[in-house]
Amino acid sequence: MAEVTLRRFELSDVDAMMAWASDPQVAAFCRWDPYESTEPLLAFIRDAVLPHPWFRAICLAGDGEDGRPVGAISVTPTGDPCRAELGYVLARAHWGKGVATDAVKRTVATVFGEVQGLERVEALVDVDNPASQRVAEKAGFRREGVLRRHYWHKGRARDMVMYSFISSDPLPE
Amino acid sequence: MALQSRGAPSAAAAEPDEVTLREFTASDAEAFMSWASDPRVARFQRRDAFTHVDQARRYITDHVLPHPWYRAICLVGSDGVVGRPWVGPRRRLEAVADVENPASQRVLEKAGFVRDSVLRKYIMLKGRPRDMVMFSIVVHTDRRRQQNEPRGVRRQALIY
Repeated sequence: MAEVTLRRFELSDVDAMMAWASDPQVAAFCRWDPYESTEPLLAFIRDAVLPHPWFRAICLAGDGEDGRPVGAISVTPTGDPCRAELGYVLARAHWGKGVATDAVKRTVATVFGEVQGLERVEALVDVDNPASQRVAEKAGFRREGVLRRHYWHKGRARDMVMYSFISSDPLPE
Repeated sequence: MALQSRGAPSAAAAEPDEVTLREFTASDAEAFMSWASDPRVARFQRRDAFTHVDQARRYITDHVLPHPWYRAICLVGSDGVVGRPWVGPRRRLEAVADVENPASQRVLEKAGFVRDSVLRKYIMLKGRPRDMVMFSIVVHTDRRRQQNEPRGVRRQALIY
């Protein structure tokens, strides 16, 4: 399998990002609607991604891949300094190959050392998104429970599964 | 929602007095101090116990009065406020209680909240990350709204 690496985004990544940001299947469980042009996506990179405390491009190298971003992963602060929320998105062409799982593993292996005071990384996954639940589970997250009607998503209240990875949790193989 | 009151009745107590809720006013600062200055009450709260009534006045002015939903708990027949719950509107109410605060967990259970899960190192309390039990009440569970609702804001009633 091609090797997964994480790096910071640049404005020039906008075209690669359009590959997943314009895909309705990818956007289905995301907070945003699919992008129809690169201008608002460029604004998103400039205004939300570049200033973000922890936002990385998921890149694949080797095995015929050219190293361009195929997805994104972020750890976003909450109101509490000990707790941040994980988010990840991947272009559909790379689903089902363990790429997102690998990116999440690399993230929890480094983020606690990079963000002062962070003790807990949590991920909220829609109950109807089993593929994303498996990513969290294979990456070593613990399933804590279901938060009912926790999240208003595109016109409906959604039940979300809460996963967490604590700084002292063992890193998965 | 964490109710912290020094005068909480024990399990074997007689029928409780009738409880009413009303909005706070600035003149409740002295009454506010009756719980806000008590370290036993402040133990599971983010802030330390208040030491001067001016702190209570400022807190009421800056935090309580502008809040979307913040009420004083009053006992009928008594002359003042004994505590306060606060919530925000929406279809899910959630509350967290420290895993080491079973009294507060019982308040939520008796009020009809359902225990969701234990969230590890969820909130920073006085410099230490704490495991919290998450509770929720869900309203309108079987009704799917047709019209476009604004992006939901989940209100978390914290121990603050």
